[in-house]
Amino acid sequence: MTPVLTARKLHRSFRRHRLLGPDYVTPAVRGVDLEVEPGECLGIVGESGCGKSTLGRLLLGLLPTDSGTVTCLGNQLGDLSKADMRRLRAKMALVHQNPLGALDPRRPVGDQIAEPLLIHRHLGYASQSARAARKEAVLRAVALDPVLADRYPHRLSGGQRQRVVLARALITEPELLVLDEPVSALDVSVQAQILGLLKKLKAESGAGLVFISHDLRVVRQLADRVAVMYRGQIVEQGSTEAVLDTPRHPYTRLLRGAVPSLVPGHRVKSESRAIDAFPEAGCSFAPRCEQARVGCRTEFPVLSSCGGSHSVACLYAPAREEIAR
Amino acid sequence: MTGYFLRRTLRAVITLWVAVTFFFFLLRVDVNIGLLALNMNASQEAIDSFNTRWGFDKSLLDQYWLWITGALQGDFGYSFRDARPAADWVAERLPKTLELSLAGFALMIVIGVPAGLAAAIRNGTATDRTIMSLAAAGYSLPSFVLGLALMYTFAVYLQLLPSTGSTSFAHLILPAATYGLTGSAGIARFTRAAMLEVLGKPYIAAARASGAPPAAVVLRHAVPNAAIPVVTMLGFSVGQLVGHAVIVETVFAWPGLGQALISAVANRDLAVVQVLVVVFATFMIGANLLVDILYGVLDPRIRTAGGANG
Amino acid sequence: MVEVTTVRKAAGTPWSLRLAAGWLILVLILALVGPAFAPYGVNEQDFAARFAPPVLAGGTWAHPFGTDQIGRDLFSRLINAIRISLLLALLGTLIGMVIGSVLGMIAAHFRGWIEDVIMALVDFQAALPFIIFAIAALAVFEAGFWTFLLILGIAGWERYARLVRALVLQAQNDGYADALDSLGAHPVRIYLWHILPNIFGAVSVQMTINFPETILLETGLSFLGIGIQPPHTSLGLLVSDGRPYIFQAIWLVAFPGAAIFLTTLSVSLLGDRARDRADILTRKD
Repeated sequence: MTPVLTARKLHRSFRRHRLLGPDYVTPAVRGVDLEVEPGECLGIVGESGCGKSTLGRLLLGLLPTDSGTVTCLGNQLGDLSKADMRRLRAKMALVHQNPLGALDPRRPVGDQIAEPLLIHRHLGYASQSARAARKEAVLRAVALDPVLADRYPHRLSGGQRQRVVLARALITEPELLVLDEPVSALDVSVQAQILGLLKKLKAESGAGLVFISHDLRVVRQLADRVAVMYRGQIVEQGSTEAVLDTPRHPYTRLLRGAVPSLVPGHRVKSESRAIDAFPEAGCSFAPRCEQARVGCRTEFPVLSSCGGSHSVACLYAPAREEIAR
Repeated sequence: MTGYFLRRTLRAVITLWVAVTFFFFLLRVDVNIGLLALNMNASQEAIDSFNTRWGFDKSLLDQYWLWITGALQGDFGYSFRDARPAADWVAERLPKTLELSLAGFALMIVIGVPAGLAAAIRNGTATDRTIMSLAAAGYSLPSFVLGLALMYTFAVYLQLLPSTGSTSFAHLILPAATYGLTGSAGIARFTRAAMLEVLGKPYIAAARASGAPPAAVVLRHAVPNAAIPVVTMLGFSVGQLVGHAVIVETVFAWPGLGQALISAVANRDLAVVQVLVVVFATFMIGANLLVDILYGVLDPRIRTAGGANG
Repeated sequence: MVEVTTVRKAAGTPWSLRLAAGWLILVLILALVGPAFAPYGVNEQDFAARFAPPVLAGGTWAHPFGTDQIGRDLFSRLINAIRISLLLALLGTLIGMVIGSVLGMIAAHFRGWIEDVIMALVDFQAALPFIIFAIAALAVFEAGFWTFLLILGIAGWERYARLVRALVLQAQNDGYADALDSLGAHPVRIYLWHILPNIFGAVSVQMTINFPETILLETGLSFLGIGIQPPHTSLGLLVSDGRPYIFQAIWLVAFPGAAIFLTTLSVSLLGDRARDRADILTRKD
């Protein structure tokens, strides 16, 4: 199968100009490679500020890359004209973390759900009735009461708003969906409902999904494969079970430790040392790593296979047997 | 810290230079100055000799260079009318304008600030509503209408004060009152708003909860914090005061810079218009710079934030 | 708090606001249809009735508001002046709003050097006394209706530019503009259909602040004799014309002066009310 999305060696950094002296440069994404197959869900996890949202925007061409290529549905994003890019957006959608912010406060949500059909005339929903029928269909798909379509965003609950945003994203039948923390702003009970809905949509639509989250429990429920990001780099990648059950990278283990355990008497391990500055050389996780050795400060770890599709970027990744323990 | 002040000063100087340049070229948009300054029936020879005499036959850039190098040495050209140095106009008229402006400005603060404070402290009461209604009225009353109303009442009807001129202290009262009353409305509104904002802050509630007497809370905690925006506003209102000056001086035939500007415009007296525009721009830019510097002294946070942005 | 709001509601619209609205409606009607019904022409002279006092001061109904030094009917002149002054203030406010809003949007949309240039212009205008600019410009250009109107429009554009830039940046920050961009909407659609309706409230509040100031600027410049030129007239020019005769004919100054005052006051009062309402609305969200 051809992947819906392929990214090769993506780099992106942000600069802040200073009048005197060099600009501040903050690298956000550093050399990321990834692929998403149709019907597959790739989870991207990492702490806040690790560059996962930036990566999401790069994958959709909402932010230009410094270097590297993104190929989506056979189109290399940097090469498209603005008009072609806008046209392609019917097939690739983004769902934001904050559904209230993503909706125009002054228009009924029903109109906003149907708006992509007006933006993308080439899809052929020319008549009012065709658009209404399609709107009915997506409302059903996201299990949203059609009565709510006449309401304004602030009159809906958080879960309803997220359903609206999903409906708007789905109305053009996209083949790629990037979900940026779609449930983290919701109450836990509502989270479960939306996750259930997303699972159903994933199975039914056959679209490729990129699911960005800091929450490993949520990712585990939806993702087929997981990529762990630390400071703009993918440090571990593989099937969800392999990465989350037998993590090879110390950072993944730290993240997993941060998930509160329900086992009584089991202490929650938190970050040991937080260090702000980027190391000049070597592994960028080294300053925080409990297992860091001398080599970690000088040598740069490359993402490489550690058995099957599971790969890790750590010079001294422990063997599988050590973790299984 | 010195960096902040230096940057602000540099910026003010650049703004002034740009403004002066802008006005120089604006005033020369119409190339046929001779025709305007003489009259429509002037002969071509008269216009040519006029242009040669005043240097208008040179290229614009040459004129600009001559003017700006002259201005830096205090030579702002000569009046078409009486061939005196244009700078003399300023020297003659400046004291009168300063006299009126300072008296008006003082009156503005003396009326506006206490009125605003009283309205804020008595927020929601009849006192507040009365003061705010008066302020709304004052804000909407053009200074020339107020000036003429005062003139009619005190000079024509009651015959207590002279109507126009500037020879005695009595002459100053009506123009200064016009100036001060019109300006104080805006000050009162702003002071009230700034004060109400501060009074709503948690530290005021904390001070009150600690049992401090209400007057002490207002004087020691609220007023100093409300002072910063009010001082800023006073500084920035200098721009409007320039407008007041022109109009009030015209109403009361007060021989200041504003009146000079209007008559120079009517006479198409280019060098005089030019120098007066420079003086007014310097006033306002200087006042804004003063506010910036005061701000830096009063509120150290501004200084450091300004430094980070360059 | 609850009691306070209910009491206010029970009291209804304050009488001052009703009067303000009433005056504005009257003035608008006068401006629209008044000149057709004016008893005399603007410059029609009646030498037999020079300095005729208004009815209130013992005059006759032939000239209800009195006449000036050459016997022109003040009532007729006033109606025409109101029309010109209102027209100038309205159009001037609109021009400033359009110029400022467009430049503010351009600044917020393109960012970078375009934004820097526009904001430098904004700062430049804010750093200069506008009336001096207006006087200098009116000294150079032929003082016609359109030049004058343009100068009135330029006054205040910088405040719309600042406001609209901030609001658009806010809208982009809110996310809905960004979300529409990610759906493939054309920027024109995003600005016209989504951002504009959302910022319209704040911009119209700014217009209610700007409108009285434009009236004051127009009448002020006309009073100085460098605004509207005869044979046209404006409220400021009427005051200026009447000023030399303040000793014998105060009505020549009083009526146009009162008309300016009441109009600016009415718009300010209604504008304050609109702003309070807008504040309440945003606070509820």
